[in-house]
Amino acid sequence: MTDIEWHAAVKAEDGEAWRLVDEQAVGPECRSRKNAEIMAKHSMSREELLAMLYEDMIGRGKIDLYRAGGSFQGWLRRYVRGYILAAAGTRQDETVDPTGGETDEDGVHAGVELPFSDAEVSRKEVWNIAHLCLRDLWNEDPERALVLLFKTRFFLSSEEIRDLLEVSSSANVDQIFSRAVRFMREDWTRREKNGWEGTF
Amino acid sequence: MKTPAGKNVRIVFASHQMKNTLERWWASVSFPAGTCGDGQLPVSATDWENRPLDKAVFECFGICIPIKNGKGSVSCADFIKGKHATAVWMHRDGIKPVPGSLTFA
Repeated sequence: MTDIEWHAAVKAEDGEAWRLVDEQAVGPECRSRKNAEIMAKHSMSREELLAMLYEDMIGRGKIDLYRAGGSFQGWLRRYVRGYILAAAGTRQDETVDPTGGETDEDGVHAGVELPFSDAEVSRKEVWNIAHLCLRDLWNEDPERALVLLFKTRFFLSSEEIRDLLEVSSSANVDQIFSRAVRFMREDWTRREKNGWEGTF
Repeated sequence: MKTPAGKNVRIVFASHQMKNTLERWWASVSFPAGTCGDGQLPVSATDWENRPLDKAVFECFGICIPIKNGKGSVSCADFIKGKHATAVWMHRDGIKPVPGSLTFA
């Protein structure tokens, strides 16, 4: 099927042609990582995008704006991408409504709103993970944990830490710090892979 | 040992997250600016609600630091000597010893 034939069939609301639109225009846009993230965040479904496209093309007659010569698939995909980006710019973060959108007598939304993600929870998780890794570092070598803390939390120079912890040289402090950072990085990866045993 | 001039450093230890919050504790070791040689490093210890611990023993840096009315101290020499010791415990009468660790707090 050429682009001209496909265009004509879409305009005629042919089922097979619209199946191809879903497969070759809507589907690929939904699968792109960035678009998928936006869609998940704003509760957009593939079906919703197809419905929007149908409404624009058939309902508003935009199908007639297509000019032969360009890729019909690419032209349709630009529309789909536009819907997704527009949603990112205008929609508020969606919430799950366990009651199915019921309203009470006053027309006030009666459902309990559950956010998709909770920034506070995420921050707490990172905080806990960081502390678990620091605890592991302490158990590996407390001096390393102290050097890491003095450098990153109190911004002490290598010379100050050398004098404070009686390390032989500033270069040695830098080496200890480097090992501490490497340990934290590896520990974080290990814990991510093996799960978080224990809480801080 | 010499603490940085013009900077007050205070490291904080916290108990592991025990189910019973009464068992939890906080302890901090301060490094007052310009302390060196035979100086003492102040230690403070509180319960989870920041109430000073009346009587306790804070085990850290390989030594047991007595805590009275939430206060104690450790000498610079002991701190340096025990800088590789991993054990951190809070011992209190009537409560089983509770382990802890260094925190970013």
